[in-house]
Amino acid sequence: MRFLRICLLGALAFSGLHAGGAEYAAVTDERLANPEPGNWLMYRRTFDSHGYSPLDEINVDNVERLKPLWTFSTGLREGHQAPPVVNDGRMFITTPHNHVIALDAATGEQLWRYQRDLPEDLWQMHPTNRGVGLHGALVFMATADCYVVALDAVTGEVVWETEVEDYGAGYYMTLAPLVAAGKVMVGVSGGEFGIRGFVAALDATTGEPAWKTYTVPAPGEPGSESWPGDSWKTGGVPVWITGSYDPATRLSYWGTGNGGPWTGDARAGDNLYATSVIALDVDSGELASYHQYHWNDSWDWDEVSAPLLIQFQRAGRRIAGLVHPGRNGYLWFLERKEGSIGFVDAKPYVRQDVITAVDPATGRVSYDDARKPGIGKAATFCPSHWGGKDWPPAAFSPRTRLLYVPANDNVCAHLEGVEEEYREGRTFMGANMETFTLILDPDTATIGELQAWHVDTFEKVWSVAFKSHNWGPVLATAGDLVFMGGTNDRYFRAFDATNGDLLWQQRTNSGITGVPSSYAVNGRQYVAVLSGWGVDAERQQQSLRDLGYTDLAVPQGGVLWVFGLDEKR
Amino acid sequence: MNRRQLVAATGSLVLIRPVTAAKPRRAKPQPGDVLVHAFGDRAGVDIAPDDIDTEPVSAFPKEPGSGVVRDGSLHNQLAMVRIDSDRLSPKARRYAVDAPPGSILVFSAACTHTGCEVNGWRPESRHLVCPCHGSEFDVADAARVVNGPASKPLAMLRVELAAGVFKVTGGFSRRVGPEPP
Repeated sequence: MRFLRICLLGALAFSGLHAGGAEYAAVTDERLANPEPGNWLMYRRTFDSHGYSPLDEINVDNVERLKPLWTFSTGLREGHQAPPVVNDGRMFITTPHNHVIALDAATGEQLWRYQRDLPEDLWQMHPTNRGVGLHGALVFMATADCYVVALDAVTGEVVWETEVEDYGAGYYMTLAPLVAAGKVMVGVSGGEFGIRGFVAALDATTGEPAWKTYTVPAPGEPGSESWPGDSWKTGGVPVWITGSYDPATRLSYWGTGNGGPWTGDARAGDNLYATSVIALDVDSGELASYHQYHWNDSWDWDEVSAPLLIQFQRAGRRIAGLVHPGRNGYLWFLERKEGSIGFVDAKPYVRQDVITAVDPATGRVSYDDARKPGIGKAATFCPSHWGGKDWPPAAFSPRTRLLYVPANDNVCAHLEGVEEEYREGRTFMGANMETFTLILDPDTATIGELQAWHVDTFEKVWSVAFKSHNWGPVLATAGDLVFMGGTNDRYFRAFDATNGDLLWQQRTNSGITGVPSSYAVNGRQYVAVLSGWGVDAERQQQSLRDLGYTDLAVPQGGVLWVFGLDEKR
Repeated sequence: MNRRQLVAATGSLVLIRPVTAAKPRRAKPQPGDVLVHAFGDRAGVDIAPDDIDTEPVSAFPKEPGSGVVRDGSLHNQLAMVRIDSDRLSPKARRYAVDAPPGSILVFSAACTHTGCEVNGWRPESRHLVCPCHGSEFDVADAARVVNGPASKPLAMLRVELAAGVFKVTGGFSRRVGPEPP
C-alpha cells in the first residue's frame, strides 16, 4: 500500500510538470473557424476540408532539402491513417486499437499516451482510427467500441466518455470527430454488419448527447418510401469520415455509405439517404438538404468522403459549391443553396462502365443493368468496389485552383449477391465471397493516380500514374507542393502543385495511408505523416497479388515521420 | 438519467455515460449453461444430439435459471461438429462428447487470427474455415491450423450430454479469438 501511494504521488508530480511547463492554448470555435497558419487543429485543417496549409517555408524551390528530423514508432500494426493534429507545438496522433499519443511537435518528446481498453470480444473489420478533434483543453477520439472519449490535452486523463451505440450490434467508429459550435459530432461504421447509420452530436464540454440523426428514415419519415418492408432497420448507410462545416449557415456536410446488404435488389428503391451528401444543422441535427450521388447502390460504393466546400466558377457565375470525387468514379460539382443542394455538373475521372447518363438538370444517374449485380446475378463493373477514390481525402489549393484527387483507375470487380439472414452483430453483406474478385485487363500497367482538376474550367490539368494502387491522402501547401504516399513501394512524395513534377521522395518503413499535415513551431515549418500499411490498402494488395499483378509484401508497423528543411546547408 | 459518475483516483471527475444497461447476454459461458441453437427458426431451442449431422451447428450458451441466451458476443458463439470417434486426435478426444454415431466437439466460432466469425465448412476434409482471410482448422485434430494466417487453434469448450441436452462443464481450452495487439 505504501509503495503504491509513492508511485501515485510520483506520477502526479510528473504530469504536473507537463501541465505547468507549458500553457495549453484553448481551442475555441473561432480558432477552429480561422486557425493560425502554423496550426492543424482538425482532420483536414479547416472546416471546408481543403487539406491545405498556408505555410510556404517549404516550397518548390527548396523541397529537395527536405529531411526526416525525427520519427516515432507506435508499436502497433495495421492501418495508421490519422493526421498529426497540432495545436501550438503540441501534437496528437491516434493509432489502430485506439491509442492517443501526445508529442512535442518540434522535438518528438512523448508527453503522454492513452490506450483504450477495448473489449476482448470486439472484432474490428477496419482496425484503424483517423485522428482526434480538439475543443477547449480537451482531445476527442471516436473509438472502435463506439464511444467518444474526451481526454485532458495536458495530462491525457479521461475527462468524460459517452457510449454512442452498442458495439455488439455491429457499430464502431474510425473517424476523427467534427468539432464545431460546441459540439462533438461523429458518425458510425458498420455498413457490413446490418446497422442503421447515423450522425450523433455530444456536448463538447460534458459529453451529454445533443442529437442523433439517422441516415435511414423510419417508416413515415421523408424518404422512407425508398426502403421496402423492414429493410430500413438493417439498411446500413454508415458515416465513417469526418464531415465538412459551413459556419455561415451552421450546416455540416457528411458523405454517406452504401445501403446493406450490398446488392440493391435486397432493398429495392432509391434507399435515401445512402450514397449521398447530407446537410445537417449542427444545433438541431435536422436534415436540411441532401443530394444522392447514385441510387440503389449495388457496388459497395460508399460515398463517405465529405465534399470540399469550394467557391468555383461556372459560366461566369460564382457558385458556393460542394466538390466530391466519388467512389462511383464521377467527379461531382454541386451548389449549396438555401434549403437545397443543386446539381451543377459531373463527369467520370476514371474508367466507369455502369453509369450510362447523368440527368443535366437533377444529376440523377442511369445504369447499364448488365453491370448491376443482384442476388444470383453476377456482374462485372468498373471501377471496383474500392472505387475511383475510396476514403483517402482529396485536397484543394486556392493558389492553383486545382483539386488533387488520389485515384485508382483500370480496376474493375466481379460480384454476385446471395441471400443472407440478418444476425445481430454479424456480417450482413449478401455477397458471394467465393467468386468476388477484382478484374484487371492483361495489359494494365498502372492503377494508382494523382489527378489535378481545375475547379473553374472542370478540366484535368495533369495526372501522375503509378504501377501500385493508391491509398494516399493528399496535402496541398502554399509552397505549391502536393504531398502524398499511398503506394505499395512505401514512398512519401512531393509534387509540383502546378504541373505534377515529382520533386522529392522519401522511402519509409511501411506503406503510407496516413493523412499528412503541415504545421510550424517557432517559425519553422514541418510536414508530418504516419506510415503504417493495413486495412483495405492491404486487402487490395492481397487481391492484386492473387491476380499476379504484384508480388510485393508491404511490411506493417506504424511510424510517425516528421520532415523539415535541412538547416545544415 | 442513464449515467454513472466515477471519481478517479486522482480526484478528477470522470463521467461515463452508457446507452445500454448491464449486458448479461455478453457474459462468458458458465458451467451448467445449456447449448441452444444460435440462429434461424429454432434460435434459442435446446440442441439435441440428433440436430447435429454432417454440417456444423451454431450454438450459444443459455443460462438455465433465467433463460438468458448469451448471444451478445461473438466470443460466446460456438460451432458444434459431429465426427467419427476413431478420427479424433488425443487432444480432441479429451473434449469430445460421445454421441453415437460418433462424437460431438464444441469450438469457439471466433477466429484466432483477427477475430472474424468462423462460419465456413469443408465437408470433405472436415475443416472449419474463416471467410475473412481463409484460415482453416482441422476439427479432428482439435482445430489445429492447417491453412491460412491464423497461428493458433480455435478454442474448444468442454461440455457433457445430460438428459438429452448439452451442458457446459468447464471453460474454454485457450484464449477465445486473437491475441491482443
